[in-house]
Amino acid sequence: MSQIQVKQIISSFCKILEYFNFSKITPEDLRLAKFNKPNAAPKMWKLLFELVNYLKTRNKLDNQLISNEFDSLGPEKVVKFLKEELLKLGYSCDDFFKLKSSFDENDTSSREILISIGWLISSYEIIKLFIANSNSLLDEEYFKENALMAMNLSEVKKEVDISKSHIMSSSSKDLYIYLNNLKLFDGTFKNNLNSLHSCLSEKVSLTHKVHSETSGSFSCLELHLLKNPDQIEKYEKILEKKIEVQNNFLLWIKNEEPFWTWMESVLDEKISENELNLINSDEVNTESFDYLFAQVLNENVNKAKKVECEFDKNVKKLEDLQHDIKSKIYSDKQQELDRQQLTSLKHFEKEIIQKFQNILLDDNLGYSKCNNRSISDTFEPRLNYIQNKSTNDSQKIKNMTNITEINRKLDEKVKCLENIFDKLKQTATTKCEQISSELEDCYVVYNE
Amino acid sequence: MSIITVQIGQCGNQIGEKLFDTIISDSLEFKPNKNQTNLNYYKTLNENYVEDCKERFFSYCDNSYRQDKLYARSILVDMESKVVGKLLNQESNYIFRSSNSYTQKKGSGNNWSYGYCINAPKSSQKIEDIIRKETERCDRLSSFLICMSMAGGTGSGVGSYYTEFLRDNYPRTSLVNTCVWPFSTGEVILQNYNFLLTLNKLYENSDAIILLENDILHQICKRLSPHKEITFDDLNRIIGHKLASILQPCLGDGQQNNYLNQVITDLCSHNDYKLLSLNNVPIMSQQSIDYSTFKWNSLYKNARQLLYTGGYMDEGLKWGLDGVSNKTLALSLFARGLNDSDFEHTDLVNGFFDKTYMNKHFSTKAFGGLWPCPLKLWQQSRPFNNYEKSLSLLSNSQLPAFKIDMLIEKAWKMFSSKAYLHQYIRYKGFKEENLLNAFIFTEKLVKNYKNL
Repeated sequence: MSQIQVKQIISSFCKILEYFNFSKITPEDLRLAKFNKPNAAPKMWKLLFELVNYLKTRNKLDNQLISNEFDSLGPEKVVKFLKEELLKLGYSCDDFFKLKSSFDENDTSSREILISIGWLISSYEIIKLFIANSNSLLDEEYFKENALMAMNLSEVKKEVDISKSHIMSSSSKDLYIYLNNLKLFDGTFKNNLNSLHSCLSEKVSLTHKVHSETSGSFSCLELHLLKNPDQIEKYEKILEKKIEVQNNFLLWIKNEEPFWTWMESVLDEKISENELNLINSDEVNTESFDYLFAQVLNENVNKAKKVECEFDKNVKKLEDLQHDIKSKIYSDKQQELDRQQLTSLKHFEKEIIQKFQNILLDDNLGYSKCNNRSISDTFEPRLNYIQNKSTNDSQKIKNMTNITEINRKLDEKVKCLENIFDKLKQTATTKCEQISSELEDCYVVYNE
Repeated sequence: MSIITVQIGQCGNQIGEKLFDTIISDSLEFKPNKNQTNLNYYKTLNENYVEDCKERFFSYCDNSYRQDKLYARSILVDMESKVVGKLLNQESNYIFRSSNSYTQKKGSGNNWSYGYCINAPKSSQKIEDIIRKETERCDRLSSFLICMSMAGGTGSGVGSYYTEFLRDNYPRTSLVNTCVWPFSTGEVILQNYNFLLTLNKLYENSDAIILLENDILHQICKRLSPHKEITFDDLNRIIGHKLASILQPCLGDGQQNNYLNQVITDLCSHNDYKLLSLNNVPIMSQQSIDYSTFKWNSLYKNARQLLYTGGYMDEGLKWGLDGVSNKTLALSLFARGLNDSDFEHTDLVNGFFDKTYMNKHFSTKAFGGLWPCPLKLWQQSRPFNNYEKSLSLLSNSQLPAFKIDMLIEKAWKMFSSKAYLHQYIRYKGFKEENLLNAFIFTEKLVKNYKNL
């Protein structure tokens, strides 16, 4: 493998990043990072930050927004955030979590970050993600896929809140009013859906017209450009960019190998340096990997327990309330449920379901989603390899036992968390079903 | 975005004709004021307006022959051939397609039952084809506008049938019925029965029902020209003006177009409340328009008074505060004409329809307050139909319900003595219960409105 080839593949990698609105980065930066040269660290941190954000949103980056966020957070928070996120993603290299949180000029942490970037790219197949997301204005699917993203979500939410408050405010007074308002909104939704449908059929009929007039040889976009030649230049540029990135993708797919060999050389660099620094390596690190992991896990376990406890309490409360109401209905022969009771019951039911959904959707509980085994499979051998090379025998054994110990503990905790989680999920589903079926009984009684 | 007009019966066809006449004369015969500044602006404004209007109401010929001619997006249905024949033969700036018409020899004899049960099903095959062809001429169909009377047999019976038919076949297209309410003194002896049966069917299927009362139209004509004998032609001309004033292009907030389905969404989203009244301020005879000037201020003031007293025209408006108070659920205002002051239309609307007014006349018990958006403003700075400024009010209010209540009473007297009932039951598919159900249904409807 020649040196030129490596450089080529790395530069195409940089170009791909640039196409997806990442901050500009050059092969030279990566080279600097490999040798732990000063100045490289901030750029590497930023790249990692952007990658993590990209993974989270799976969307084209808004460079300005990310940059602003990066700057406003400040080094300390950024590093903390990245450490936590990588932990969640399943990264387990001890050295990375020992890094200091500053963007100092003389900081020599850039290689470690580069390694983590390499890990992220390989284990989450980021290039494949890029390829899947490489739609541009030229593609017909582009608008379909981006329409929802372009929608101003906060505005939509506001609208929904207004409607909700309109229905809810009247609901507390009178069932009749409540129903009337619901019917009103139902009608509005129906009408709006219909007008959406008419828009869609218009689009279909116009597209059909375009195809039939040009006997199918032009797409709508092409016809549009024929009609507005002044826009051709703009689209040409987009097209050129797209071709370039496609070429880069192609290059990557064909010549991925050298990139990874280069990455390995980065690892080798680290190992050889570790050997040199062996003598003065008795620093004490508080924020090491296992410590951080254990801390987060512990937090989650506690949280889950707390949630479970609260959930139990709520269920009990609900059951009591139900029991109350039922007995009251039967004993009073009133055949009618107190309006207030019904609303409070419904409110309570909703609240619980909401709470539960929050738990399910909680990002921090996402550990169980990422596959722990594959992480250890991919990275542990390398870690061991490093450890093997870098330490003498007694330390080696110590480290090995340490690692296995930590792994065992972690596995235990993860399993425990998963168990709690599953149990919670199961009980909640059954409870929810039970409650809603019983509540239905109550509603029926009320309606009668 | 297009509207297909379905003209049913003699009255429906005449209304349709006048509607298209008004639209075409408003669009094509517009001359900007001579002392107008900013002429270029108005030229492009007018061009856009005319273009939009053509897209809405007219299509071009399918083949190259007479390509410049405008064809009305209209379907003409009558069981007699006299009126339709006349419409097809007239030479004007636009043409009704003869392939879009259906006529036959035998009328419906002013009998709802005959129209609904016999005449309409017989014609449905052919009319289905006509409707389908016409919808295919539209890129985007906003709604069907069905013009009919509620007195005669064809308008009411066949009209009810085809409203149902359109709802079944085009469930996603909005249906708006323009119904002419017969003279209360009576054009036809069966009109009250016909009215109730029609209203019942329309309420099931239509999205909105615009009621136009012959009584009121007659009074308007009387005021416009006190010394002339008033014909149906005069009444229909007023209807044409009224309808065109809401259907011609207009813009809402955020440059939204006043497509009919959009207007209806604002006014009639609730199933139980879909009776609309349509009022215009000002209404004048052609001669006096030329010598009048208008101020938006006074127009809004009149409109607001008109709305809650339940009047029909700005001349001779009641100004007292007591008397009938007309609760309104929702209102759409169409303001056409140049702005004359520093105030924007939105300011004027907020000024005249302020919070206290809204709380008094728009807030209802049934909804525990106001509708989510009770008042919608549509604007167009191009003047409409020779009026320098005009304001149209399309409102969903209580007023029609009171009148329907009186009509029910009359009809019930007839029904309790079983008068003319045999005329209806004669035809297969109609039972006495149908009429009884129509009574019950209409009474419920009236109650809904009264209990607002």
